[in-house]
Amino acid sequence: MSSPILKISKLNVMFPGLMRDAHVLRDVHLTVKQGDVVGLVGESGSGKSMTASACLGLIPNRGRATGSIVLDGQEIIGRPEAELANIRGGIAAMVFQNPMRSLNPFYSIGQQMVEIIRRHRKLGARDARVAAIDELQTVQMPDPEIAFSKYPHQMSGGQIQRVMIAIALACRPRLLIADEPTTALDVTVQAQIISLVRGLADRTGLTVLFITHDLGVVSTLCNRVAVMYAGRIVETGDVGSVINSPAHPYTQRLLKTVPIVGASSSNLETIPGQVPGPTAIPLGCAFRSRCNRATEICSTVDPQLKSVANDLMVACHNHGSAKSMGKQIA
Amino acid sequence: MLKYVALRLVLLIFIVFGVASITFVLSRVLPSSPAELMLGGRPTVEQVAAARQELGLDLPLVSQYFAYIREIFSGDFGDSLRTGEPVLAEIGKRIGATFELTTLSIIFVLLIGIPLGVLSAVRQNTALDNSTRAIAVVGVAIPSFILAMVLQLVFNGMLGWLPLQGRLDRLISLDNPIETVTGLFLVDSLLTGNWSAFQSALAHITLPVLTLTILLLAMVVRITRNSMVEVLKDDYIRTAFAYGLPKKSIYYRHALKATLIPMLTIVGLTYGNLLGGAVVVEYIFDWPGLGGLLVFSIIENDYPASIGATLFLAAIYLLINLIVDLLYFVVDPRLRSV
Repeated sequence: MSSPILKISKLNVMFPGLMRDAHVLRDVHLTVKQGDVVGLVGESGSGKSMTASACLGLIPNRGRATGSIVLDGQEIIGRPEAELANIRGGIAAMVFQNPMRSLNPFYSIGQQMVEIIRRHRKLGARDARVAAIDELQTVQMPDPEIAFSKYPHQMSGGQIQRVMIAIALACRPRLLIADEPTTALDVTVQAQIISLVRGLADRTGLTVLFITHDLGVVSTLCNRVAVMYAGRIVETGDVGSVINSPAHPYTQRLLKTVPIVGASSSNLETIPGQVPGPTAIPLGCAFRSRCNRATEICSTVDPQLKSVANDLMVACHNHGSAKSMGKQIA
Repeated sequence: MLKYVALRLVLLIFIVFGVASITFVLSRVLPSSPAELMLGGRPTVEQVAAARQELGLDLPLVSQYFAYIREIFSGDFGDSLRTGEPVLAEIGKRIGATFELTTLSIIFVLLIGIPLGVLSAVRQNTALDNSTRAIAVVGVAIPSFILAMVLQLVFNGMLGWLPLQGRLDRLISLDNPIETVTGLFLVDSLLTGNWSAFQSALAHITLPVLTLTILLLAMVVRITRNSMVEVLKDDYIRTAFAYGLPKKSIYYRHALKATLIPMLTIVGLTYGNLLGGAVVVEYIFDWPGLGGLLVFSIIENDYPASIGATLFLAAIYLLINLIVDLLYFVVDPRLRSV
C-alpha cells in the first residue's frame, strides 16, 4: 500500500469570538494517498475550504488550529511561516474558486507564471518561460505563446482556470488542491476543466484533493470521497460505496437532492432545516435536528468516524443503508 | 491611445481659453486703477489718461478682450505693472524656486509615506499602525503656518542649525553666484561645482521641505494604508500567499501596484496645487516662488502679472492631470486594451 501524501488527523480550527467561539473544523480526519483523486463534498460553510486552506497553513490570523496535518511527511500545524512558504506551491499547489479574481490584473499571465515557477524551481528567466509555455500546453491552452503574454482580463474564466492549473502543475507539487475550481464556470466549461483534471490524474498519476458541493462531479472525477457536515467529516470511502450505498443519513439525503436528467423536477428532494452555524454547534450529533433517524444517544454523544465496512467510514450512531434502516424502523 | 491624448490636448486648449476669459472678466470688474499703479507716486490726471490709453483701458471692453486673447495665444502676457518686466520673465524667475521646493517635498513624501503606509496596512491595528494614524491626524490638523513657525523656532531660534528664511545666503549670492542652468539651485550649484552655494541652498531648502513633507505625509500614509488594506483582501493576494511568494514581492510588487491608482490621483492633484505655490509656506520662509508672485500681484492689482500667473498655473495643473491620466494607462493594463 502506498504511503499517504496527506494525512489529517484530529484537526480542529477555531476562531475565538467575543460572545461565542466559532468551531469551523471539528476533529477532521482525512487521508489522501499517492494517486488518489479525493472529492471533499459538503454544503456551504461545512468547512471544506477551511480544510483545504489548513493543508497549506493558510488559516486566517485569528484562527487557532490544533491536531495534525502531515503533508508529504512534514507536519504543517505549528510550522514557521518561512518553511510553510516552501511547501505552498512546491508540495501542495492550490487552484481557487474564482478564476477571474485569482490572478493579479496588473501583471501578464507570463509574468505571474514565471515568478511562481522561479520561486519553486531553480530556473533562469528564459527556462521558466519555456516551462510555463510547456505547462500551458499540458492544460490544453490554445496558442500557449499568445496566452503567455496576455493579461487576465483578456481571458475567460475557463481559460484562467486552465492557467491556474498550469501554474499549479508547473511547481511540480505532490498534491493538487482544487477548491471548487468549477463553481464559478459555465456548465460546458466545467466539464472541460473536470475532464482535464481527470486526464492529468490518469496520465501522470497526479494526486488531487477536489473540493466541491457537486456530487455529480465527484462521481465522474474522483475515486474516493469524503462528506463534510458542520465542520466534520461524516462519511468517507471509495466513490462506488459512498455513492451507491451511503451509510450516513446525511449522505443518503444529499444524494437524493442531486437532480437527474429526465426525472420529474417535482421529485427533487431538499433537506429541511439548516446546517448549524460554527458558533452554535449543538451537543451530540450536529445533524440530529435534520435527521429522521435520530435516537436518544444522538443528542448527547457526538458520533466519531469509524470503519463500518471495507473502505467505508461513517460518523453516525444509526448508520446503515437506507433500505436496511427502513426495515429496522418498520 | 494617441487619439485620446490628442483629444485631451485639444480640450486642454479650450479649458485654458475658459480660464483666460474668466480671469479677464474678474480683473476688469474689480475696482482698481492699474494705470496709477504703473505710474506710481501721485500722477496728474493727464498722466493717468495717457497711461490708460497706453494700456488700452480706454477702449470698449469687447475690443480689450479680443486684444487680450490675441496676445495671450501669441504668448505675450504683457509687462508687470509693478516691476515693468515681462510677466513671462517674472514667472520664469520664480518657477524654479517653486518647482525645486515642491518636487523635493513630493519625492520625500512618497519615499517615506508609501513604505510607512504599506507597513501600517500589513500590521493593521498594531502600535505602528496606531501611531501613524495619530501622526496623520496631527498632520492634517496642524495649520501650515504654525508648523512652519514652530520649525523655524526650533531649528533656527533654539538650535541655530538652519537659516530662518530665503533661498540662499546673501554673501554667497554675491561672492559665488550660481550660474543658472535649470533654475534649480541644488542642481545648478552641483553642475557648476559650486560647493559652498550647494551647501547654502541645501540648508535653506531644508525647513520649507520639512514643513511641506510633514503636512503631506499624513495624507499619503493614510491613502496607501487604506487602499492596501482593501487590496490585501483580494483573491490574487491569497493566490500569491498560496504559492509561497516572498512577502516583499506580495506587498510591494503585487499589492502596491493596485494602490497606485488612487495614489496617482491624489498626488497629482496635490502636486498641481503645490506648484500653484505653497503660498503660506513660501511666504513664511520668504521663498521666492510663484505663490508670492500671485499673492503680491493680486494685492496690488498688477493684473497682467496675476492673469499671467493664473493662466500659467492653470496650464500646469491641467498638464499634470493629463500626465496622471496617462500614467493610469501605464499602471493598469485593463485600461490599455479598451
